[in-house]
Amino acid sequence: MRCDEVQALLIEAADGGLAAPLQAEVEGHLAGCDTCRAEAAALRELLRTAAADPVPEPPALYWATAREELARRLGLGQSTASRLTRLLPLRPWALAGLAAAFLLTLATAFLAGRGPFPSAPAGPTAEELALLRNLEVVQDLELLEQVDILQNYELLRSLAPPGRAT
Amino acid sequence: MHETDEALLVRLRAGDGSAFEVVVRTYQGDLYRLAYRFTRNMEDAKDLAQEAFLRAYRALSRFDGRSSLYTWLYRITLNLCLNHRRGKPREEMAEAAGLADPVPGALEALTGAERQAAVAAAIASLPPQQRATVILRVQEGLSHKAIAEILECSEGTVKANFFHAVRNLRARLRGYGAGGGCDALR
Repeated sequence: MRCDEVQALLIEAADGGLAAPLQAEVEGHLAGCDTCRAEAAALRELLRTAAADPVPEPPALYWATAREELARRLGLGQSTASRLTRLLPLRPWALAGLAAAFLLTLATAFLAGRGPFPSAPAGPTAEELALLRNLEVVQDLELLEQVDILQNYELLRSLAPPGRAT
Repeated sequence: MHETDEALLVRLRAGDGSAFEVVVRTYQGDLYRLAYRFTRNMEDAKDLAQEAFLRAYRALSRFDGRSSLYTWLYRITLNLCLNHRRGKPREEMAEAAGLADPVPGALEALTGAERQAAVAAAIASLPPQQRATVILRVQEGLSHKAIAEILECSEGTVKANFFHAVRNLRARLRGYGAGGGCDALR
């Protein structure tokens, strides 16, 4: 095969669309032609770079919120919060209480884990403040309406003070 | 085991809202990613993916099932993306996405990120059908047959579009890699 014939086939070859005998002919030519081999390599690199183009992921909470919004706009079914209520046979206020109790337990465990105070504490530490802020957030019923949040282990991990695993 | 598209369609046509939620859960990432590749903007991509699902739900009664559910959803999203893009000049799109105009030259000297940006900008500059073909084939990894269904054309047209698209990309990115003129006929 001549170079111009091979180069006309390189895009199809890079796309994996050549029949086996033709592919073998092209490869045979490439083995002995630096110019065509370089062009083939450039095409593959171009396609590889295009394929690797990154797509930024929306924040983790986005998908659940988007589904909720979509369901609302389409007038579909019950909210995720009411589905959660049905699954757990609890009222929303009870769920909020449950979450608060969970976090209080977490806070108690955290404080107990620190052992005796080395000296009289002058006030809450930064970790304790962060924990209290998170407690307020979770007590917000709006957050509880996102069922996926509760399924999201990353969020639960983020509720722990920095440096402490949940 | 995942529910098949056929089973989902039966439930959708019966007006089962929970089936639509399954569809959204299954395809929301795909449609967002496709829309992002066209818009290069996360907010626009999220809006377009949402709009695609809205339109799909409202058009369910007109979906004849001759194509698969995902190619149908891709088609709706793609049309939205192309219409969205029509409203914005290419320069504005590239600027919004932080993409420079592709500069012919020694791209091999660029860093990985710069090279990726240059290739993305070159793809953004392609005519709509070629751009769609490259995105669906190279970035989404779809078969020629699936792309033909999405673009509602023949597989031959898909292959031709792909050939011209890549040739155009090579021209825009001349100097990319070590390719050059052929100095020997064999």
